[in-house]
Amino acid sequence: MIRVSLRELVLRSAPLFALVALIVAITLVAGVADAVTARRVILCLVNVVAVVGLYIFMGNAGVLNFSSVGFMAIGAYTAALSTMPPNAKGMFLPDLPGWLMAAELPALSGPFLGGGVCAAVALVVGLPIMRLSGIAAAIATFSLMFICYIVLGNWTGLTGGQILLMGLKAYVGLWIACGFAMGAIVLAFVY
Amino acid sequence: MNAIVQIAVDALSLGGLYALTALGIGLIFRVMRLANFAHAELVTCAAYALFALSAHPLVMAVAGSVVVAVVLAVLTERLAFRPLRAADPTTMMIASFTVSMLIQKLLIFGLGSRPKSLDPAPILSQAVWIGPAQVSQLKLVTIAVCAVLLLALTVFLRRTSFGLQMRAAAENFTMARLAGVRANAVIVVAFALSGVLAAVVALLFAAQSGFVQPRLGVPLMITAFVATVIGGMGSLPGAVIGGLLVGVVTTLLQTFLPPDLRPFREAFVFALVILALLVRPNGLFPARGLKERI
Repeated sequence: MIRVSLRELVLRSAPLFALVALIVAITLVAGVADAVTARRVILCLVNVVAVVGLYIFMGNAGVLNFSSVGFMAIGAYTAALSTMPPNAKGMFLPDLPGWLMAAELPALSGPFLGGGVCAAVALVVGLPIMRLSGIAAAIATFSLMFICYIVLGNWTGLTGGQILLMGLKAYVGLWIACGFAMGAIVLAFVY
Repeated sequence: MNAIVQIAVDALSLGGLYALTALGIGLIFRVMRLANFAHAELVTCAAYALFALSAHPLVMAVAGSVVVAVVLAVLTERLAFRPLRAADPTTMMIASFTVSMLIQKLLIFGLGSRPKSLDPAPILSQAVWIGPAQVSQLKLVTIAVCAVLLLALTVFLRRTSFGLQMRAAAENFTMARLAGVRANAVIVVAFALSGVLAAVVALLFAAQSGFVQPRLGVPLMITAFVATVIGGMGSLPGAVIGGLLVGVVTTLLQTFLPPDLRPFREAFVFALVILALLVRPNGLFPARGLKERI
């Protein structure tokens, strides 16, 4: 076991504390600003989660990874389908199987369920693709993203295709977004 | 028999378009290691030039669109890519994404994002009989133009001294410069040639689809880029074969997939792309001197 002194641990965690403090500071400032600014900051924090997630892969592997966007789509639809109230689902997606139609999980479990599904999908499709490197890997991930786009955009029975799905629960407030952003940064740091 | 002739014509004309676009991308990649995503914008701007000149005779309109595409290509090289020549390929690719987005947004800003209808060559929309099958004259012209251009490019690269300089620069840029090849001239000519190819593709594609919009070139570019990688990045025969292959596979899938799976045909094409990359990561015809050790 590597013995690390407490002082060294604190010094190495300094960037993490700085980033987390920055996120909290932004959130506090947005908390007292008007609604438009608050909405922009929420979007900014969600983007932080997206970018940090993308860079956990790209920074460590050095490979351009386009498929992250496809996984965002998969996660979004999973979260939507599992947390939408059944009557909204019935209106937009009448062809869903029974268990999916009736499922209505609490709103906050949406992102975690979406993340879990994406992780499983990524494990399955990522294993063969990670044998490649360089531009072949970049093109392969690009193809993955395109496949996600085409499949989700045309599978009208499951996702409604190109139509908008309405009736999702709006639960991402300022502090929830802040929490997810902090969680992403901590995860990236620890990994 | 009818069906086979029609499928063949469809496949070859689509494959020809992809092959020409892939050539334009491959030319620049050979000399500069740059995957030029702004090529899509060259096609779009050439199509818009055709639209702007649609009141004039066809020859003038085509000449105008070629000039626009070449000028734009040379400008992007001079302003965006020359300063980045020493950077690594990923940086240059991201820079080309940026140039592409900039031009797209400028087009939307200046010309609006609604599609505008365009019919540059109305005489070509009539059908022609090959034996018992009825095929579109436009598709035959597409195939013929692609073949002629490929031949012309091959002759240029193999028989002229400038073509020799370009091939030398592609194989080993530094050594070619030491041997007296003028690097800037070679790169500018590569961009200009890709502009010409983009203009031709714009004419054929706009004639087939009938309208022009700011994102016209993007789907073409994406598929052609993928075709370039499958065929072997940096190899010109590879780009052509990759383009033809993707065109043929797309047409075959369109014809033979059951109707409810047809919207997903692009997904199948890209799944095949992943398979092709897993089997041959360097492409089907890897260019000598460009093989990375995968």
